[in-house]
Amino acid sequence: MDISLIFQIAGIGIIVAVLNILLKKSDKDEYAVMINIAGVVIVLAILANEIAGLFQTIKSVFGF
Amino acid sequence: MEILSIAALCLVVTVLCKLFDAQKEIALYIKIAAAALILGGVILYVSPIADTINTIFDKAGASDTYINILFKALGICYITQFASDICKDSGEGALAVQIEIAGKITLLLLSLPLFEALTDLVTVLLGI
Repeated sequence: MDISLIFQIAGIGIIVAVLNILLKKSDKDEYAVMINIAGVVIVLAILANEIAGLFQTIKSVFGF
Repeated sequence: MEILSIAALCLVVTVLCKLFDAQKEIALYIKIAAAALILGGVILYVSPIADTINTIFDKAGASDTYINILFKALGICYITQFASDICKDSGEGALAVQIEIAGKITLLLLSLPLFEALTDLVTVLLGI
């Protein structure tokens, strides 16, 4: 049960938030939106692997 | 025991989700990741329980097809509960209900042979 994944996601969230504010202050709103989308996609990729691993363990334990 | 780390992890995750109130999606991701980690960690404790139950039922002489159906049903319940609770948390009540209905239908489908076995047993007992 490695909890580093959660802090990884939190770190990405903080970075995206800071970049968002920076870009908004310098009137680059399009890039802010792109940074948001990029952050969401990266975290979704990480999470998809984690969920796949969870379902794999459930399948193996309960004999699917 | 593992329960201390799980409780601490849940508290940390709730605080983190409050931190990300501005970006709802990151908070949702953190919740999903934490739920997946905890469920994955706890599921590994089920296999020794399954082994002991299997040995007990082998002694009692019951065929192990029923036990496998039981454990498969337990797995289905875990997965549907995991998915529907996360959907409910993020406000998607309709999706949660859909997952639960699907889970119930798969459970019924899974337990069809049990019904047949039951009816056969009853007919034999009543001598019809």
